[in-house]
Amino acid sequence: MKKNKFLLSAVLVVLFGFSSFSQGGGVWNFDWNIGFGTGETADFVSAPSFRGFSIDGRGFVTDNITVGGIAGWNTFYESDGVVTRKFGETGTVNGYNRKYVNTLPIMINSHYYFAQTTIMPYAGIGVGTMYVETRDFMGIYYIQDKAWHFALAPELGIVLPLGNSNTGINANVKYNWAAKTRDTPSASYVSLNIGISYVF
Amino acid sequence: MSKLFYNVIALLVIPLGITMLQGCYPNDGLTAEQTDLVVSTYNDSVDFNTLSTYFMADTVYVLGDGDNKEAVKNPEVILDNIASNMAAAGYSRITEEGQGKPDVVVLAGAVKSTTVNVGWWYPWYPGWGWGGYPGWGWGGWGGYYPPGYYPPYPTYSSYTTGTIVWDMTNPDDYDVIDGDTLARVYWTAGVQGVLNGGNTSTRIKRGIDQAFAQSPQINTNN
Repeated sequence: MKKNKFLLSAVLVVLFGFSSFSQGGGVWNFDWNIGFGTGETADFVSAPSFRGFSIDGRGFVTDNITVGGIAGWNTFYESDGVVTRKFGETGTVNGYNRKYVNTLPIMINSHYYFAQTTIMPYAGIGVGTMYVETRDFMGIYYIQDKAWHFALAPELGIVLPLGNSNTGINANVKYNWAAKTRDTPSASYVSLNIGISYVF
Repeated sequence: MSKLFYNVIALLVIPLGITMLQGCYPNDGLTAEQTDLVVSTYNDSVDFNTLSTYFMADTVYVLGDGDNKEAVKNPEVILDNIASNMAAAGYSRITEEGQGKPDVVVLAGAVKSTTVNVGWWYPWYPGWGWGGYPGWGWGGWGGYYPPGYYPPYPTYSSYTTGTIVWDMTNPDDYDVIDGDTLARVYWTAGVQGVLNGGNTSTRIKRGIDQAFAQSPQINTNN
């Protein structure tokens, strides 16, 4: 937990720090996230997640480079219906199954904006932590895994300003990867994010 | 602001609203049937092929302690379904002493138990806003609570589960542990679900059938 507190504090300090000297302005993104599990996350829940959103703040440190932070949330859900499973050497359990993955990425990030004209394409990467909580239900009982993971998230996106306003539509694709921990497996998903960009 | 802008806002806010309402664990509303669990485990050192007869009492024992005991309402549904499945698994039921000594004894028991969840729901996050408006109803609580803090509402939810368990044991195959004679359990199975007063008999039958179906090891003709 100490490590996580440190990470969170670091994210906040960096966020506020950069926002104060980002004289060149910055960008706020409010996005709806659609997630597609990959790897071990897809093995557990293969259905895509339409429940997710993120808030992303970026400050320009040069004409093209931003530094900022992001916090988001995605819920993956799937039911296999009634399943029969083995446990121990000779045990069997039968019941209605439901599976959940909740991810909470909190990262610092940096992006390169290729242009700031009628369209603003960008590429970047986030580094930080992702809280992952999984629940595997049989009936009303469940097994839960939860852990804070080291996480990375490379990203490609575009902002389409709406007319002459400083508001635009933001669309990006991001690969969210959380390293495995001692007790829990790796988690990963590709997210399609669409929302509002507020450029200041 | 352009119409497009509002359309985009709507596109964002509507799914976000649905997301918030459903929370981290959507699809949480189960039917009573979906709460049913069937659990079984067998003793892998037993050769079930050598068994052929069993005895089962005409009683479903009420498990649990003291005042919680309540007679099982439909014991015949439980016993009849176990008996028909035992026959299908190759066992003959012995009902009288004259028929000889049974190879195994089957005992069934049931228990009903209620789980109560108590939680606290905060009307508003402490210290957020309302404190700045004295005279807004909440102000009256000021004598008891520091400004910006309001008492939470308690919330209750409860569910009652019914559990049926049955064991197959051999009274002649036992261990003596610390002076106690313990018969070895050859097979044990159970059905549990949230009681809703409806089609309980159907659910009991389905559960017992499933317990035998998932335990092919106990068949006498393996």
